[in-house]
Amino acid sequence: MVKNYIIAIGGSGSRCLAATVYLSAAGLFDNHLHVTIIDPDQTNGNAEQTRKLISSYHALNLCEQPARPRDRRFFARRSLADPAIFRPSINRKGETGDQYGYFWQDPNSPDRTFGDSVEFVNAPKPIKNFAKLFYEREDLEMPLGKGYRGRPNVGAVTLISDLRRTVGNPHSALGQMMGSIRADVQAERPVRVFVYGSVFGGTGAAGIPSVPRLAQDSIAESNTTHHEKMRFGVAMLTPYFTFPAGTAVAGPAPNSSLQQVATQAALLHYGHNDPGYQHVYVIGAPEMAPTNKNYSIGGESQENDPHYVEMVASMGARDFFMKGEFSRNQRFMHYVDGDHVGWRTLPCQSEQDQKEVKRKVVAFATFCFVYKHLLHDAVSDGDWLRRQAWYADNFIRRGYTLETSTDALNSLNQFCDGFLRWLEKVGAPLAEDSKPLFNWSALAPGQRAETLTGQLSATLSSGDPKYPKTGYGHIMDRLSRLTPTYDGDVSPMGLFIYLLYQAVGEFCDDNYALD
Amino acid sequence: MKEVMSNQVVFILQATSGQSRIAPILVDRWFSELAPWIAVLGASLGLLVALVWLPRVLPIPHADDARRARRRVLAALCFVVILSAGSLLLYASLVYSFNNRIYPFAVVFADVFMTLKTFTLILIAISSFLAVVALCSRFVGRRSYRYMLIRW
Repeated sequence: MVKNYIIAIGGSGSRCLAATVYLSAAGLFDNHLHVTIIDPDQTNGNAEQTRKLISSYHALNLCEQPARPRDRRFFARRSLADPAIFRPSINRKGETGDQYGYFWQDPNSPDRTFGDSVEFVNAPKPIKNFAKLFYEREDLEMPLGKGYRGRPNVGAVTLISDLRRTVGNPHSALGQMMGSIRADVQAERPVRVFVYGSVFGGTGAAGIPSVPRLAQDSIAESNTTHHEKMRFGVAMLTPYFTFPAGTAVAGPAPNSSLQQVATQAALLHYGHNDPGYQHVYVIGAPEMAPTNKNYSIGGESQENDPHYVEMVASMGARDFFMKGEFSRNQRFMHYVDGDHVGWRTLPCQSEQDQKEVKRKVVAFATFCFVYKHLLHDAVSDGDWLRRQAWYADNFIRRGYTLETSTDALNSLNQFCDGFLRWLEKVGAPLAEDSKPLFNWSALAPGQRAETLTGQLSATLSSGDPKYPKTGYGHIMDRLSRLTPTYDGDVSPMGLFIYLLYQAVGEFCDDNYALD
Repeated sequence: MKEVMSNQVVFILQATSGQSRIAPILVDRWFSELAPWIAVLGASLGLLVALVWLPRVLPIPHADDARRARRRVLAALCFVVILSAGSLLLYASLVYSFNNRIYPFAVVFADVFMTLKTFTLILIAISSFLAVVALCSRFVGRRSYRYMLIRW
């Protein structure tokens, strides 16, 4: 089983990972994923949201969908598409339903200061004087429990040593990830590690150069000669959002007006000191959008809104994992210089791949939209359900029921709600775009869901959809026609997810001329 | 006015009784000749409804699609009854020749249309219509309302 590895550093990294989970759910990632969030700000709101999202995804990933589905029409069989959504597992332990940890537990006290971490008090005087050349008193007294507050010079020293202390622990998320990488390396499987991090803040900028070193050192310790097979990619996020200026915060604090300068400094440093990534995706936004109404130095209150840059970063990870062989010594930099965010400007392998990406994202958005706004309440109603022909054929006659899957239906509802909110926020900075990825205004929760189902996007040639007003009807009509046979066991929830997505996919192909 | 109307009724009754009646054997022959055709008419209308009109019933949220389709079938059935009855009446009075003779409308109405035979023909139309609709909706196209008439 080929696995891909993702390390998300800091709050921005966590939000990129959230985008990856959503795109994974949409079927854009083929291989199983092993992810770890590294954030010294252990209660960070963004990281917490992503942790909940991964847990919710995992529950839906465990629903068994049909294997080798096929349909019979007029005595002829046709193969149906294999299950596409919620397919790659995230941190799944073998075939069990358990998960590896996905959040790096910092063993330190949240009150520990930078001075404590470098044992400044006990240092000889010459060392103290030397350190004072590079660090102000506020830096040395800064508590590290809420991240590095835009100070990569603090984070670079502290993070790598903290990570090294936990990387050998087989019970920590990082230790488990390294164990899995080690197993892959020893089995001579190709290992690709992708890192998300911002270069304008503290944690990401400090963590980005640390990860390849940490991973290679960790694998090299296991006396294997195959660690040359490891490949690293990174999404370096340059400034893309702003937040209000902080007031009455003691000590160093993040400041969005300094992001550009910090980015230049970080990139200059990486330019002179190769951080060890073969593929670098430099991603930013020409106009910085506010993603938080309140100022927060970290902790639970740091819950920034999603941004399209995070989706692009996630597409960068996908692009990296899909690439063919490349050597350890090669270096590639990827960026897009344009004035428009569209399906054609997302990192993709080919024009065909761009179409596939659009097809999958639009179909998954429609799936979530239909389920969240139109089907969830109805499916929870047993009387309505039993009157549906698709339910009678695929469930009642085969001895399945959805009426006992209330928890799974609620999980799906929450996931769909989260995805639609995420997508709406992703589109917020693109509202004025002339060729939008989505009809952003239709994604907002609210009325007329039935008539908006077929208007969530435009055709590939930016034309009008075929069924702008009757999307729901056409989807359910297609759902009614599906009575597939398949191999293996399914769970009722997995079967429902498969059938609905299959119907939605066929509808989107037709409605948006995607095939 | 009342007098005028009663005079007209008397005139019609006189006219009817003044004409020779259509022999029942001719009505029987009319029935046997028309029965297959009325069945075909019912079936054709059934086919039209099942393949063209019913598929336009697209599911809507929270609704019972089978019930919506049944309502549509009921409306179509009313149309079938009216159409078949009207056709029978017009055919019998204007086209069909009972023993090489065209009878006046009132005679045809009383001796042919208002008989059990005509009702039987209409029932044949209804039956063939419903049979075709039921079979087509159940076995052709796998629509959301496929169990509206046949529940297995």
